[in-house]
Amino acid sequence: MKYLTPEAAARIRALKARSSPFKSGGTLEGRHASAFKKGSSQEFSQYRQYTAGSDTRFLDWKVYARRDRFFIKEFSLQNAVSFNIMLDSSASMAFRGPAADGSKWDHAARLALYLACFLMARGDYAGLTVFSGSGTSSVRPSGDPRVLTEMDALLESVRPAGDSLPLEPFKNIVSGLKRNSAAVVFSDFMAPPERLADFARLLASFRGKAWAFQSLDRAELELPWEGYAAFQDMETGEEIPLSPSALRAAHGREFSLWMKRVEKLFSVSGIGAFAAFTDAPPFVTLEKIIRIF
Amino acid sequence: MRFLNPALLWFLPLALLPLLLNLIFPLKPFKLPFSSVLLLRAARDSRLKKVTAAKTLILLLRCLALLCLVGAFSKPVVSRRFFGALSGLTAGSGRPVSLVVLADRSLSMSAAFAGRTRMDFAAGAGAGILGALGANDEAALVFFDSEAGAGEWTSDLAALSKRLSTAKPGFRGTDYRKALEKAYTLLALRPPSRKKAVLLLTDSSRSGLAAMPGPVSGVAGYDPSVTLAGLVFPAAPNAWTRGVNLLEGGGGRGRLEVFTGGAGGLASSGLRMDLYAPDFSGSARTAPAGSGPSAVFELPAGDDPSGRAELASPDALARDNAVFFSLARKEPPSRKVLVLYDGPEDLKPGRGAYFIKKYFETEAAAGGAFTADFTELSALERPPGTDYGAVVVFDGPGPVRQAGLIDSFVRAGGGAFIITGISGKAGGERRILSSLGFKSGGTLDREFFLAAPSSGSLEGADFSGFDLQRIRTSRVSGFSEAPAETLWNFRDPSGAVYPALLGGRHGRGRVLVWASSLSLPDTDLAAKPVFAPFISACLRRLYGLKPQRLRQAAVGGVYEGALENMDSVKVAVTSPDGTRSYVVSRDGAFRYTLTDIPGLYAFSAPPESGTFAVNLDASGGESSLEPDTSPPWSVLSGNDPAEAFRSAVYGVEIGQFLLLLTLAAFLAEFMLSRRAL
Repeated sequence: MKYLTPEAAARIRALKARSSPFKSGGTLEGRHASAFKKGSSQEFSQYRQYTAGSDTRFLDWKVYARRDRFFIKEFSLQNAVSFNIMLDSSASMAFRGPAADGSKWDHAARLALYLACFLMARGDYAGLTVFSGSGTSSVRPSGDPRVLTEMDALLESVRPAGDSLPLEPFKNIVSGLKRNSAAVVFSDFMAPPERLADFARLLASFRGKAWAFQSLDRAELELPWEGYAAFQDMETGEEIPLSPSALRAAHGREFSLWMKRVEKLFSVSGIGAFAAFTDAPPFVTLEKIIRIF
Repeated sequence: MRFLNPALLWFLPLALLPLLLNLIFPLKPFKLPFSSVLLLRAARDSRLKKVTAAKTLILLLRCLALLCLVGAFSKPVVSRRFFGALSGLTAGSGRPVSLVVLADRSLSMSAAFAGRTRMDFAAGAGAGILGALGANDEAALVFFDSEAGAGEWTSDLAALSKRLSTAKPGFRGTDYRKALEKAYTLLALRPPSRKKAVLLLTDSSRSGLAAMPGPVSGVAGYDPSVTLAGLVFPAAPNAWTRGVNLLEGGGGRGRLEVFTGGAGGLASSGLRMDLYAPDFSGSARTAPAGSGPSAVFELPAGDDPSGRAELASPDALARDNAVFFSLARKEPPSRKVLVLYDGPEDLKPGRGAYFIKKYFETEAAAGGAFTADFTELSALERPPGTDYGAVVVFDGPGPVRQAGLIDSFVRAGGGAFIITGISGKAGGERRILSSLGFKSGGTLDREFFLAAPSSGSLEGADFSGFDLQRIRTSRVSGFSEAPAETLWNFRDPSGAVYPALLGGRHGRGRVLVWASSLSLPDTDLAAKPVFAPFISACLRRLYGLKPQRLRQAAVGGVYEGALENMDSVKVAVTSPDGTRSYVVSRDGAFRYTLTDIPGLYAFSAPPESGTFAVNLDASGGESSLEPDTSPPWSVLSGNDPAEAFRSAVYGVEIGQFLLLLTLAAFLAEFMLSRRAL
């Protein structure tokens, strides 16, 4: 797997899960011990492979006898939340700064996969949708960690292209979201202000809980180039010749203002907003993200 | 500005190279894919003006740097140093110099400056500059004031310096035009290979530039290649006397009006002025400045008084504090008049003799020069004699004997004023007039009024202030023969003129005839204010008295002298410094031109002698000691005039200054490029 290595997955699962802060209609949340006794009206939901730290009370010994492998029974009373992780695969996400290890797409994809892994590890469901102006691809929400492989493969196959935050495809995605699920959008949100505002409204129209995660490259803020360059927009193709050193300070001011505008745009709509640069260690970013949830 | 390497100026267009390169080879940017140019565009637009201005400035700085670089290598030379030593070095003297030294010896160069006179200071500066010249250089020294002297070229600069150091200022004004014309004339004779310059050792007085024809290029012989350099002295407070005027006083005396001036903040009022003369003296305080005199002195009676009036004013220039005066005035031996009236009736009020008597009484009360004795004509037993200088006779038919006595008196040199037309006694032979050569032509009884004197004045007296047309006469005596000229006319309403006053010579004496009476029924002349000055003028004519006048000339001018002797005689003139010279007088007139110094000059042509005054000509403004702040020559600083002269003549090479400017431009371009680009 490109983005979610086994080591990373193991590290994610080792993270101490916290209770999900939102209620999706039931009285139990996350992975806290159920108030119901075993064998009561809990409904069997699915098997999942045993991982270190899983509750051994729910080990299915019959399956172990048959397969010589440990599996944990999951029941529907655990109130698992279905997270819809949506990634913007527009052309701007392919940007990679001269000092960055990977593009913004790689960064967002890795974090999305890490998040999905984490959510699954704590008993929630995670689904993945990749959208752009060129179309959408998705993996249905599941609690089965084997879905992560499928997600990884999907993300690896995507080549970012098209305009940022296409409204029509996103509208279809939002309308298809279940009411008691949650939505996390990964994007750089580099779109014209009107489109960004429409996007925020669309996201806000979703009844469930939503978060917007902004992936940024440090070079987009600092313009580390010297000389005289023609900056070419990766989505529109527009070229602007200028001297980065001459505009560095002014661009920095504009960038900071824009970040604040983006955060405000989502926060007034009740959407949690979080931004991170690609040069931040992924696990540090992940921990910050899961603190929000 | 000139250039020592002018060929390099062909590279000046290189200064446009940055502009051309910017146009032909604009900066090519490298392509850089970027996530979104939205924010870049916003940032660029917010700084568009500043960036554009910075880019323009950078281009201009590059052009300026190249310009200064090319300019520096072309070795420009300017005439004056700026920014002190940063300007550059004095350009080397490539060509020998022909220098005309114009040494000002006008009056203002006598003014005090730093413990010396301006002339001394200028001479020292001139000697220093002459000493700085090279072996191949030459100079000509020309002294000037209101005229320019001669000059000759010489390489013996030490001798010129010595002449300069011994020069003394004179008393004349300043005329820079003549001096510069002389200089240009001298320099025109020098070969073009020589560098030409004029050094003005002067105080750049404003009065000296008054004769300039606008800019210096209007001076005859002007040569733009000639460098003009000179000194300037600061203004100095000064007060001076600027002339005298004479007013007629009573009793033959005169009043001397003295005029003064002041400049440089020094008021000429309240200063003490002293009058010095051989027989009298006086002192006064000068009045506040106005159109009138600053001081007035009463001159005592006496022949030809002369002397000087001097301001006691401690100022920069003492030579202009004194003004000299000399009056032409002759006192007659006797000013007693014998009035011969017809009878006691004539002394009654309203009669001519009565008015004459009143005149003399008033004259005596005012301390006048003339006195009179009155007697009846019939009581005249013998000629009046030397006790009297003139007689006033009311003529009419009378005894022949008195007529003969009067005739003898006049022939012997006396004067006779004959009043014709005794009231009530018209007609009849006029004996006295007949004896004097006048033949009666009858009497005209009609209305007449007095016209103006024939020559405009009578014996120097001006009657234009009197309303003569209001003076009426109803009886005029005519003459068929009159050995005299008409001095005054009556005019009747038709405009016809008739002699009123006739004057002539009879023997050695003088005769005046009034062709009417002085009695009220016949004329109201005696009742008018003009009567007294009329009688005074008539008496002066009878005595041969000329009006008092000042005998004076200006320094450098011509004195026009007058003698009684009409023959050609040699006149000896002694100037105030004791120098004696001679001129020839013809027809009673002589001209004296050696008026170089102010003072009293004595002339002598026996038996006649006298003095005349020569005074400074204050009209040119020489005494104001005010310099022109922008003279048409380079001003040499007082601290080191030789170095300043070298800079003015040879110039200052400012190549190193341009190199500094180039460096500054490149530095500024570099700093700006780092920030803006």
